[in-house]
Amino acid sequence: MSNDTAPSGPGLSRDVFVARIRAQLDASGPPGPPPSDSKLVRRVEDGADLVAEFASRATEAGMAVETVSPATLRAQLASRLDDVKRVTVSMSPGPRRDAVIDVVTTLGIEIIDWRRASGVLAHYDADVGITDVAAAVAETGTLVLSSGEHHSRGAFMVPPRHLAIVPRAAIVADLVDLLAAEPGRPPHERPAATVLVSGPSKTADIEGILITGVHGPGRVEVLVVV
Amino acid sequence: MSGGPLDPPLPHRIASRAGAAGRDVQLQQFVNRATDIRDHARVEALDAAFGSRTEAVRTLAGQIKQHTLDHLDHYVGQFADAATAAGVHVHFAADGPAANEICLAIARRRGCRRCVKSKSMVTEETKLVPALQAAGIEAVETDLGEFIIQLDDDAPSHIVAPMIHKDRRAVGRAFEREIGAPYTEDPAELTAIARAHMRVQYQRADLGVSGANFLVAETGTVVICTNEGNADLSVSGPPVHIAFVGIEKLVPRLQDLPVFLKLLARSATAQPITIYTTMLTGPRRAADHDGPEEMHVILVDNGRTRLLAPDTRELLRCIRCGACLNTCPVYRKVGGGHAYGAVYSGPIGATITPLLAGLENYPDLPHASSLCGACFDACPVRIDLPGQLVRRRREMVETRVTGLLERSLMRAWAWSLRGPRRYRMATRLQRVGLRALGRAGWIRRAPPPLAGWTRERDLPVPARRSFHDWWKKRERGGRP
Ligand code: SF4
Repeated sequence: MSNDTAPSGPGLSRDVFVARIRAQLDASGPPGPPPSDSKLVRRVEDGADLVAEFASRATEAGMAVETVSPATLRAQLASRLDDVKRVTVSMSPGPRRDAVIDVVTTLGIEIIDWRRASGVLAHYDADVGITDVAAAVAETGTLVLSSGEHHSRGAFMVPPRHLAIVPRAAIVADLVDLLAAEPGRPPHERPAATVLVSGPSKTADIEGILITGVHGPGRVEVLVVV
Repeated sequence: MSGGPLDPPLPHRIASRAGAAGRDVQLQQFVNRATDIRDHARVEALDAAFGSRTEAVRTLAGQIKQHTLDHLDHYVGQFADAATAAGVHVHFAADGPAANEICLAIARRRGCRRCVKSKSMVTEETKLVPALQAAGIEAVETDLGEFIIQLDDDAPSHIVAPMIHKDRRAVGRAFEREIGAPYTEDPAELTAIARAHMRVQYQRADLGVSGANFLVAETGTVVICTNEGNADLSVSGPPVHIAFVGIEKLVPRLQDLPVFLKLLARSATAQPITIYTTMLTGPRRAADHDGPEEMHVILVDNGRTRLLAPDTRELLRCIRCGACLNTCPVYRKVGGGHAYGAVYSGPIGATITPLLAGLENYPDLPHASSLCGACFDACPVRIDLPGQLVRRRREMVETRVTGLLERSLMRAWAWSLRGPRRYRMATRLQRVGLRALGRAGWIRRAPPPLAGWTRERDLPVPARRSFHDWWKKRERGGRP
């Protein structure tokens, strides 16, 4: 739109805007690579016990973490969804999604069809948002959630509870690993939204007192499948 | 247009508000306690994370930002290309009014009536909310602190903790008065009231406005860090998302982000990472079922290219963590009272505000520092804030913003320090003069231009003899 050489309305053209910047700089032309030192910045080594590290950091961040086996996943899910009326499910197709759908249907819980409803608002009626993850980070106990055909932006933000299922293989050691270069992946092929979630929604705005659940979920539960 | 605590009539003098802030004991206790806790927690968090590497990590972060600024023309272009490839409309605003106008033009075209907005200091600079309201668009701040401030028609007093100057009673009263909630002082209940109120706002909104903490040039990604999750809800529901971003927010690549994510949250609130780190690369994709149909990024200059001059370039490294505010003895004393009279307060505000708005408009801000150096030690991107403040003072002298009397006194003082004899003569004169002003050992009210020193405290009169004289006599013959 206005990202061409002609100005659109009140904005400057890109060329004029960049020229104003260039006028203050000594060197122009493409720079060399920026300084970097991933070894210095890294806090968790790849060889660490990533499940244990993830579990303790996520717990410190205020999430409720439990380790389950593929065999006990269904039972764990069922016990957590005991008193729930409506859920929303945001997961890639596969055995884990099948397990979730199976448990939820057996319990007679309603599944909100957010694909047909209007955007993130569809999740306002859900008691729990059940999701998988694109990745998880041991260093910070972080869940990584990306938008896409099978993944809603609202499922993990709107309901008061978020229940995430994390396979062991999804856990990377450090933020450095998560954000390491993915060469050749053009911008439009990336997910429109990737959110790093590192605890329940919280605020300390009122007299510095910590309160959870101000906008996003007040409770985040994680089942690590090992 | 002027009005509001952050937009005072110019020239503004910090001294005009510092007195009131200094006398409000309760306010000072809040701000002092809140900043003190944050200051200590920051040091502990960084030490726990990086130990002896902390300095090296801060140096690296500063170097990456400096590199980006040194080649900002390139990175702005790269970002615009990548973001456009991802489907973002990128706009270029020279100043605040232009940025607001771009936003209003989009809102008009899309017929937007209701805006939900997450926290953004740039939109404070451009005064976006009043501009939206003047255009008939309802605008709600969704960050809890900013929301309460909006209800009270107040202004943020800290870049990270905007309502650091308010207590729970003020919040309870604002909710009772403005949204009809039953009065309560319980923070959890207050949060629940805000949550219920916000949900309705998110549902009704047709425009989402955010700021950004970082822009990734390589991928065209907008990165937003929050703890509440309000930015996600503000920009995921409405059909249009507009991000206001200062050009200093660029970083070259995704792989450069970890060092900043690791430093920002620890420096701001002693967390390993903010609860939500939201990375947006374009509007909803064809296969997506939610997310905005349109995404815009307005790159805002608003004085920043002026700061890009070699001498002040380092100031643009700032990642707005607030650590320098929390550690600053001057901010702790007067910060709660909007004494700085500008969007950015504390050491970073004291040095960039005069550059952005003119030294003559903020003539005493560069003096709102004891030059103790605590801010330099705290800054995660190692900006030499004390050095910059000294430079602002020099510029004030050079441009004669500093008055003739002060300049003459300083010149006389400098002269007296240039030789031992001059120095002894000057101190003798001072001693005699000050002793003449004293009553019973104390000077309670000094005449101008020294009056400021005795306004809040008494000055003891100097001893009859200088230490130097006393020592000499002692050397010459036994005990004096
Ligand atoms: S100047 Fe440094 S310490 Fe102050 S807000 Fe900016 S980054 Fe933080």
